[in-house]
Amino acid sequence: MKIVIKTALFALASIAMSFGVIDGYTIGDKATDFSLKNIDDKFVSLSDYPDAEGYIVIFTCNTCPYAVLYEDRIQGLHDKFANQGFPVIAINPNNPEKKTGDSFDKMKERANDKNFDFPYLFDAGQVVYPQYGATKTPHTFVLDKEMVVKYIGAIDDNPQDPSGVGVAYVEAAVAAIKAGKAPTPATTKAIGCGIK
Amino acid sequence: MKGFLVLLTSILFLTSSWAQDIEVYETYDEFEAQLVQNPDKTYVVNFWATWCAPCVKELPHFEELTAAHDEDDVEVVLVSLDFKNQYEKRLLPFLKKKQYKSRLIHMTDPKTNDWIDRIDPSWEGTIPATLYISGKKRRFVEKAYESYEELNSELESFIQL
Repeated sequence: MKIVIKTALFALASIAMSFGVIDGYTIGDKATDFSLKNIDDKFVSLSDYPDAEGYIVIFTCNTCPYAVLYEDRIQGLHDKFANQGFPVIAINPNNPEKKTGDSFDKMKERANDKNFDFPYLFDAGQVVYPQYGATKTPHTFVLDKEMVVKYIGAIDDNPQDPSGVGVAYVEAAVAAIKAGKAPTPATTKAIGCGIK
Repeated sequence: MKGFLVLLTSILFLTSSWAQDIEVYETYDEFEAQLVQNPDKTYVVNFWATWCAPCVKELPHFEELTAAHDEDDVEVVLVSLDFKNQYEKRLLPFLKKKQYKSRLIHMTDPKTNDWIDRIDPSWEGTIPATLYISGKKRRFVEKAYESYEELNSELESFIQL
């Protein structure tokens, strides 16, 4: 059955490719850098962080209830890891014509209300998220110094309740990369809202 | 007096039967244990949440399925994945307004990464999603149904599988 599904997916992927959609990164792929507008109107790229030991790239948004549940935890990751060389880079992949609450102005408002001090970038024209293969908000990609993808998935194992978290996947992935090891698990399922 | 008693009984019956109608499971194990009660029946299990617009939009198709099929043959189960703290605030008022006839479950196991693969390993983690179960036979579909006809033909093809 699994093979059937995979074959079907492959067939779909080939069709999708002809429309210019790429199926995204898997572990070990080198991520391409980007230049996206931040809520302070300046453009941000991964290469703006020459001292980074890695990157926590999180596709997230204002409107998805799961993304909202994770807002404080995303700020928490940045607080904990930015000065250890692993900045959080958040990217809103939604099309504001479909989701008005995810417009660039609304991003500014939300970041201001919540005092985000990590970059919160707007994927104008929805160019970057298909390259990564993000499908949901929130959906996290942890990269190493060389921008090689080391972890893909959820932030932790309990979206509803931070105090009930058993495994903090992203924290564990960062710790593994710092120790020169491969994160385990390297992938989990990101639970959230489909990118609009 | 008799009329009053009948009225009183029906009010009591209505309120209590409505209250009984939502099964709440805090763990996936409990949910799984209770979900299928009759192996001869076909179960159509829809995962949704009040905040998920495409889910709410397709719920009437599932209600139509409940109305169209004999309850001994087909049982539609609407499984809300609304967060636990939204039960009183959002889920109950929503259900009270909608008065759905299908079986209702509120499943609040927060360890999604642990149970999602047990529903189906192909589940990417988006809703709406629908699971068809009949005995040992299962089919999992991760999409929104645009019409009742589309949903019903999926069910028919599953039954004939």
